[in-house]
Amino acid sequence: MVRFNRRGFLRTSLIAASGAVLTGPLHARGNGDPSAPPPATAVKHTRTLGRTGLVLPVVSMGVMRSDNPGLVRAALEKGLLHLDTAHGYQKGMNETMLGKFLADVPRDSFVISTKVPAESGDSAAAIRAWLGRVELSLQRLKMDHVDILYLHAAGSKDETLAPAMLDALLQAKENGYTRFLGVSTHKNEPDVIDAAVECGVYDVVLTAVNFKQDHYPSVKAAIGRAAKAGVGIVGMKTMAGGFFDREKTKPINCRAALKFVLQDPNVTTTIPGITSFDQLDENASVNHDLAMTDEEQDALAAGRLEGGLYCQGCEHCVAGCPRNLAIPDYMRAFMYAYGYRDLAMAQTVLKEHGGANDPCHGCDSCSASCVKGFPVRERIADIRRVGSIPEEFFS
Amino acid sequence: MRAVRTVFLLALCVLPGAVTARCGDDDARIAFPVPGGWSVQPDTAVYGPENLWEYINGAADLFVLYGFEELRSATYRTPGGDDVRAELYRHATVADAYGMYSQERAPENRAVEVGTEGCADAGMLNIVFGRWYLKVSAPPAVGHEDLMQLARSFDRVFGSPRGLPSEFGMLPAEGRVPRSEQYVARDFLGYGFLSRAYLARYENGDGPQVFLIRTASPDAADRVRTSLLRVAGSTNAPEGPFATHVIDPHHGAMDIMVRGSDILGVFGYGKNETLRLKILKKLQ
Repeated sequence: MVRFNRRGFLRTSLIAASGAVLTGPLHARGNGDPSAPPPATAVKHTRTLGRTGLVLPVVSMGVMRSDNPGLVRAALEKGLLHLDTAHGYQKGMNETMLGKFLADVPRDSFVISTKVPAESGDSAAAIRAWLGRVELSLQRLKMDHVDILYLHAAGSKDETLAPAMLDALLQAKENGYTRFLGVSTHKNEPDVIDAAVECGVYDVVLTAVNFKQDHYPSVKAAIGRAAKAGVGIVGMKTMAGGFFDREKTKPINCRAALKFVLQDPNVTTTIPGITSFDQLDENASVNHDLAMTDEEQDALAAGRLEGGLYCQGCEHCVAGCPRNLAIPDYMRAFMYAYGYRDLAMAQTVLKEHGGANDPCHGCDSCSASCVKGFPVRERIADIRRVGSIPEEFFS
Repeated sequence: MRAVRTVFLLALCVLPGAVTARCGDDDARIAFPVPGGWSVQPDTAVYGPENLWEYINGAADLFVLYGFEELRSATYRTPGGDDVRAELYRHATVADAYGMYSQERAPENRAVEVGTEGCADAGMLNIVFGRWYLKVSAPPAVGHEDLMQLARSFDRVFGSPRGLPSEFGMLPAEGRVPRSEQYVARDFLGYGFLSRAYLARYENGDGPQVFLIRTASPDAADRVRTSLLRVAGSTNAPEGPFATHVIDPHHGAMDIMVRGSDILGVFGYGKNETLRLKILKKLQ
């Protein structure tokens, strides 16, 4: 379906040959008058999404956190012509908002993707239910097709290759509900990416990828294999949560985080969630300037050392501890308690090392250092108290 | 119950400074109530802001913006043998829970008279109980009345007073579209300097919207007003008979007024001057 608005002033399309994406939407910015056509904006950095041939700006818009059509309009004006939503965002209201706003926008001036989660159950019923959800998404979006339809959040090879879902995806394409098929993942990404390449059904993979992933090298390698096979890659979770610390006092340099991911030319575009015009301006600037400054590199490097809960068990810390404490186990217990909220598991780990006893008692200063910058002594002092919880609370 | 204990104990033993905030009366009495003839199997996993995405993927981002603190969930079995999923999200404040609920409430949903506010559609219920947001989903075989039986059992547990957060009382009642109220925690209208906004729609489904933003002081309110004028390029806009009239670059014509520490605004009336004045008079 191609839809034109009454003025027909917008012809951005996907100007693949020029390597630039021109936009000129939708609603005037600057005078609040919806009837005035705005000037077109050219995006400097674009890439082709694998075998789909879609040419997209390197930064697109994740609409998931926004209920503001004004923001979507501004994003399109700035050349972020790829909009990503999902069946479940805001319980469907996100798609509804987009459908209402895009009703007067030429259909060939934007690229839209949505995501529908897998259905379980027997094959025929699962296919029917999944296609029913796709149809509901299209109703909300007021479109007869999307450009990319993702199987939402596959977390394993098996989920990626589930026969019923592959059948459902192919049927959706046959029905004309989508131009291209994809799968999204933020768990076991390399496995999912490889499976997507292997099965040949998927044109696109939407994957979590960011500078804080301990397994980034394997994600990057899988992305490379996908690109070689012609499968387009869209990056998400590029901001790695937006903050370096649990207390959210140390924001991540968003521009640097985006650029980090986009240094890999196999990542076609990214879909950061945008809720404000300031964020939009910041993210959109990357479409014109991809080079990482020294300052941006330093910001990521410093933050990377601080962050997270996941101990990779390198035991660098143990060598610095005069008591040779099993520090990785304490870090693991900390992660169980704070990350997974599984106190029983945390206590089980602690009990292997003296339960609530203070293993650091008598040490005046801590010489154990963590390559990820975990505050080792503080975390041990913090977590050991879980060892004193009576067992009956976990029964 | 393990999930309840986990969160409680984590707060008690690991986060002593946070006990007051995280373990109020709400936490002590929360369990999954079981209506007569039903059974329930609570999930052991409890999700927080760090890992909610594992459960609801990208939708988690919005919940986190709305002060999401914790999710616990359960599967109920109805007397007819159907499985019903219940998800109970705890937010930092009543406004946050209401805000998240209002983000997911569709105009076509029918109202249910349970909790602070609730709505229903085929096979689903969304209800706010104070700072808890309950979402129930069920297969088609489970009727609305069955779901309401479950909803009422939660209502008995929470005992939440009905009615919207009190701030909505500052917005005109006359002409307000029922169930159009929303609370926007951050980036209201897409502006980082506008947060904690209460708004409602008037006249009809596409009618103008009135908003209230409460700030800490008259000075803070004035700073917010100045910021709004700045983005509109109207820093010297004169105060009109009712309010300051500006043209916002993204939302069109808008009127702003400062009342002590509060900011009230109207937008979305387009070029309908009669409607604009009508709404402004209500705000006087």
